[in-house]
Amino acid sequence: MSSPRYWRGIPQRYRLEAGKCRKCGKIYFPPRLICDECKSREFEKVNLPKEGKILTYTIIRVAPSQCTDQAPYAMGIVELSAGSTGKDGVKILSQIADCDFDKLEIGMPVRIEFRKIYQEGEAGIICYGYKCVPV
Amino acid sequence: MVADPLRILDCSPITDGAAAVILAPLDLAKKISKKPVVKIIGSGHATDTIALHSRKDLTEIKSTERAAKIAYEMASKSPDEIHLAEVHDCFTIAEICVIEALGFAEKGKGGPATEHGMTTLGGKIPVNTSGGLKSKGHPVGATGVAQAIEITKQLRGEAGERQVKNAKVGLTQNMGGSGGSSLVHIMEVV
Ligand SMILES: [Zn+2]
Repeated sequence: MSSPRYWRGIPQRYRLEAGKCRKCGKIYFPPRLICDECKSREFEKVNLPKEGKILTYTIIRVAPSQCTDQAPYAMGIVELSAGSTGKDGVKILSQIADCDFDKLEIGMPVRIEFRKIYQEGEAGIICYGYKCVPV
Repeated sequence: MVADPLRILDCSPITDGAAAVILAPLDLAKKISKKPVVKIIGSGHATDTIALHSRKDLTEIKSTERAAKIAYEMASKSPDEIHLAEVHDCFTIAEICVIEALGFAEKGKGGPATEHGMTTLGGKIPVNTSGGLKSKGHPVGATGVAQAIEITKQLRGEAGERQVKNAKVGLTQNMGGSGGSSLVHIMEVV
């Protein structure tokens, strides 16, 4: 992904900014323009909570080109706690870092941390974002 | 191991390939074709979120389920009336989820049904007699049309050793974006 395209996602990648439908309350991460439940176009910005639990995961052993130096690594779908958004069950896809593969399990509590995701191109531009780590 | 629990043979190889069909109005097709004509009797397209984490259930391919419903209704056919199918088995698990979405197996039963031979040649509903994406290869842009070609060969009785006996009605299911978009077609030899 080119850096400018990556940077446009900074509000989500750095601050977990999601869109909450003003009409029906559904939360979208990343934010969307139209609610697929009620078709409303009005959203308010909410910051997702920084803790949750692993819903499912895999160990990536053959990684895409940007991440080959990190393989093997764990990727998971994490269900976030309700927190200040007042809504349970918002899910995000995230790398699960600093973990022992053998100890990973579904339901395991994790915390979201601000991390380096990968370095890009010959200049080695660093792209930051979020990763989950077991609590 | 590629990504647990998928090993390399669980994944379709991205290959080169090409496929083409000739589409024509039925009366014209009958006039120009020396072979039995295959008619599209049902066609359905549906979408779902591309992001897997936005889906309610990871084990369901909702876009295929919806596309199949549209195609079955248009064709006035039920899953029991399909004689064979070509499906998008990009990974082993995809075929299992797809045959459930198409109504060939109950939810959660696609794996055991496949293990017990439901989808083999001579089984209740042969699936991917062509070899599918995994065994034939997956030339992304040609895969869907190649499915239609396999069904056409089968319905014309030209499939040789892999011929499904008395095949009259076939189905193709193709998808993109991990099931973010699905197409289902039902074809019948006339
Ligand atoms: Zn809404």
